[in-house]
Amino acid sequence: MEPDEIIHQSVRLKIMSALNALADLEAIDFTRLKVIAGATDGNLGAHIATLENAGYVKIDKDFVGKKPRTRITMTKDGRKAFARHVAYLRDVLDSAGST
Amino acid sequence: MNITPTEAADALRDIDATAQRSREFKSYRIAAPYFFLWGAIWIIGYGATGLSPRYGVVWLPLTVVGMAASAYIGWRSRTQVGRGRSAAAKAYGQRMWMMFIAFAVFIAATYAILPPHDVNQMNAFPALLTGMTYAIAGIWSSRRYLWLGAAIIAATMLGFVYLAPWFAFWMAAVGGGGLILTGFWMRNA
Repeated sequence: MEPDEIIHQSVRLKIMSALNALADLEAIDFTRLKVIAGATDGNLGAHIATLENAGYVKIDKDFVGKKPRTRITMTKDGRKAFARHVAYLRDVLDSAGST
Repeated sequence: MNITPTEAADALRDIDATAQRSREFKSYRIAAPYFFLWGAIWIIGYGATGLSPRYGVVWLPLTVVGMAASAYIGWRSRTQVGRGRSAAAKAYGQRMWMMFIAFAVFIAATYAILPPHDVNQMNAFPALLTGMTYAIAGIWSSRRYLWLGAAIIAATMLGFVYLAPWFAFWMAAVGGGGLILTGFWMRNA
């Protein structure tokens, strides 16, 4: 089992954790994700773009009235990759505990 | 890439904390419309009782309307949003119904055992019970509910002790208005 280097970065790990806690296909607003992940606008945007390029999240942009809104959804591939990464982390801990 | 057991433990802690925060924020957003609704009901109910204690009977239809509207909010949440969100909204709606029933039974039983001596006591008790319920919810899960519960209890006691002649109007303005403000606070979480 191998770690997922894209997911393991600290901010991206928080983004994926926040999205994984939501239901399938449920989106979260950029502004809320920023608060949950404790990131700045630019920082969060860059990490979301990395996750999008990996196919782990989907970004939808629209308008609510005149205000632009960005919503992020975890893809099925993203959910699977996150589950694999968490399993890897648990495996590392279990292996350390058994030696 | 090699991850040490310490790094793995730290990452798993981060994952749990972030997931908990994400679920907490989601529960606030689901709760927001219920605060708008019940804030309005408190304003009408306490406002009417303040005009005349005889109008206290308005609480019965208001409670029925509130329960029906709460059911509608739950149903609308389930039909307007995604599948997963709907499951959370459904669970929230079911808990709201169970809470209403528990509230009604507890208040009726308490009034039967310890009948209130005046209208202010009758008005204060459901508000204190509401505050305590939120405080307990806050202690066990989401911290915002603890602050809300503490604020409701403090406002109720303040009005009951120091503003007795205007207590019902106080509860309409501060209690009902406070619930509506809480709705905005929750919605923007």
